[in-house]
Amino acid sequence: MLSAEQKDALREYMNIFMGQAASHLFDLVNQKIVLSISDLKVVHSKDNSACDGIEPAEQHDIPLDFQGNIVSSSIRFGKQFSGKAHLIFTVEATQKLIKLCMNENLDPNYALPCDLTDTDYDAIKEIGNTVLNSITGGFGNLLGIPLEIELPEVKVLSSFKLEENDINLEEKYLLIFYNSFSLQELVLEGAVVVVLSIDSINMLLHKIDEVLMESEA
Amino acid sequence: LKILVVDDSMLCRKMVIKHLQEVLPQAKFFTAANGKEGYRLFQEKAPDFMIIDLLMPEMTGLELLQQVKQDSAETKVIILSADVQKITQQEAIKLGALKFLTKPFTQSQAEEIAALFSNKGE
Repeated sequence: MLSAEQKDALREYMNIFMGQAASHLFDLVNQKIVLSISDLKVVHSKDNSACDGIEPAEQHDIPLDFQGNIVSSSIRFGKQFSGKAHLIFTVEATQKLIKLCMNENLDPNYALPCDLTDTDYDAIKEIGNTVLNSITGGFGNLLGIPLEIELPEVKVLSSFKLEENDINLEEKYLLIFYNSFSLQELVLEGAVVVVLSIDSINMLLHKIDEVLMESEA
Repeated sequence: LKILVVDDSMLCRKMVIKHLQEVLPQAKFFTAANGKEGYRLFQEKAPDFMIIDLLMPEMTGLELLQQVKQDSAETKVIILSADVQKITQQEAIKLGALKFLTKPFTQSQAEEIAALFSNKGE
């Protein structure tokens, strides 16, 4: 479904959006964010029959190597260009991140509580809002269209599954971007996952083809 | 004028060359898709300037910058990255980068580089 050139260009734009998001996260936690190279894949969301080697969404292999429950802060965006973006950390990483944002010292001997407090939910919602708006805003700028962005929602999940995150699986294909990152002075890993609907994939690919043609001109 | 562009994105390499060719038509360009290949070409072609991405497989841009500066302090290196964190920019400048530019690469950045090359490339 995607040519090597389209994949390369999409990955490059995602790196740019992640770089901008990392800058906002740096401002919040005052620690360097160590980025990784973005990756993306097209998954087959509804019909499980073989289709050009595209795997079904239920078996998607997003490399989120997190131990324990995860906290997903997510925003929906649409309507012309629609999808859902998630910022994901483990519960423990979320609590550490919030303490950093609040300028609280992290005593290594301090046992973090098992559950998130209301303050934690509020803080991670704001962090997610800042980071994810930067990424979705990047897509909007690339396409030259304003995006309607809904308020962020925070969920604690046992693992990251598309169906658990209310993605519209009526769509036949989904484009998933993902990027993992860590904080330099604190072992704390996070990930960003962006899922797009088929109409949005087509809109994005149309724009990418224009960019590729411009680069050839 | 020999310019080596090191970036894992083919699109970015094309855009950099496209924009720079307009302002530096006499320049000869070489490209590499990762830090290791970039270092090999640096040794082989002895470029006057290098434009290096930071986030690359095998050898990062900062590692390549460090290696290049160890071997040849006079080689001018410009970092072109999506990472817009100030601390990353400071690290690159501390390691000897002449300038830090943020992606996406634009025509005005190409003009900025051309002005830099004409001042320092002689």
